[in-house]
Amino acid sequence: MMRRGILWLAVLFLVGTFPAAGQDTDLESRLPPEVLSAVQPILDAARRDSLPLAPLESKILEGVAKGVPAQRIVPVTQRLADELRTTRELLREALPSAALAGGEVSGAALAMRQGVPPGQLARLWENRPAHSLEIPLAVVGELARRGIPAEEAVEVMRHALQTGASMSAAAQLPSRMDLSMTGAPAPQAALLEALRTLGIPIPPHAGGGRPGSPPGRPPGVGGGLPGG
Amino acid sequence: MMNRTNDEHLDAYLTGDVSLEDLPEALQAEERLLFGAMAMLREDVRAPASLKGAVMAEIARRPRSRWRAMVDWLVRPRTVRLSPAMGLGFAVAAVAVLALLPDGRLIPGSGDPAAAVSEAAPVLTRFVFVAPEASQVTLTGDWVSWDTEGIRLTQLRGSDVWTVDVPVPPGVHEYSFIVDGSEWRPDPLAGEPVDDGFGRANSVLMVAASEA
Repeated sequence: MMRRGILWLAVLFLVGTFPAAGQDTDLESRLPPEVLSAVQPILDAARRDSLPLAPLESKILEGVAKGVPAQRIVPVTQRLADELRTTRELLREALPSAALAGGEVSGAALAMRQGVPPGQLARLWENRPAHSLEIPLAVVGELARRGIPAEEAVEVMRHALQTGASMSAAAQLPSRMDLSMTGAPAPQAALLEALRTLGIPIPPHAGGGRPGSPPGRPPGVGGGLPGG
Repeated sequence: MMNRTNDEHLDAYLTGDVSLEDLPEALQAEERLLFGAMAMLREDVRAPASLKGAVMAEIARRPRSRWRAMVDWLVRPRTVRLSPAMGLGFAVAAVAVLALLPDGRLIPGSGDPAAAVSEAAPVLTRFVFVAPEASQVTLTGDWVSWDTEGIRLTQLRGSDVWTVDVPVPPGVHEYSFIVDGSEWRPDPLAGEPVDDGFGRANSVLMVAASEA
């Protein structure tokens, strides 16, 4: 009786794992067999390391959608997996006790790709909000990509988090900066103008900006702007 | 001797004017019966030693339902004998299950407040694309798994402007327009595009969760 009961429990235990094991069903149905077999080891390794799978699967699907052959999809996916793995390791060194969400690792990877050191990014966790830091991390990366020094980009977002600025506004900071840069020569000047336009508080000592400007809701115009 | 009623006898007895022996025989008998009953009630009544065994035997004799038997089996403490090999097998199975779960989380989509952004409601987002001489413009990106069917943009009447409003989940996304079903083009209104790794470029879209 007891042995039979244990067997039943084991069967129930294994049945419960089937949905988790079948999570690649969508990917399998959309990928040509040669692509699937080529990328499967990368995905298996990523799963073993608990890396975020979504960006990897998305990159593979993007390659297939764009008609890229499997032999070119594999190295791009492998490079992305390596980048995510390195980013997470560096963040864990800088933030040993923080729980890192998949989106935060991706956002940090985007920022580090633009030369923002992980030690600088870790400062954002000082004012971690209730939601994910994916957007603030990515904004830091986009500001750095537009010529803002890493330290200044981090300070802008750290101050925005600290003052409870709207993240919808913060997400529009890079595109608003692009608009400003058409008339202003220096990235810093464009950043200050964008911060003022979007009502994001300007941190003290930021390129001559006024500290403590009130936050506000930005206007929503242009391509890919939320709220349309 | 006075001719008293029973009530008068009892009144005299209860007030102590007369003793029990002074009462009529019928009342004396009734009173002795009541004394006996009171004495029995004061006694420390104990169940016979055989009662417990008899009750348990009766319970065991009655048939149990399957459900009741299962509950009993689950809640009754017992000693489980497990060989080291079997214990190791269970441990390996547990590790395998954890490894199979996405992101190594016990319950997908829960437990970490940092994951909340991907679970928030989609945000309606407007995409605008200027494409002179295009007969069809579609939009695709990572939030639709790069579906090449894409999301069709609508041409504003009498212009080269194509537009669509799409619910996009909060997060950082890459996307591209497809002109006439084959030409992949980044969004010129979304700033400097990023290298897609395949020799083309994507636009970056950052969508923050709706703020109440």
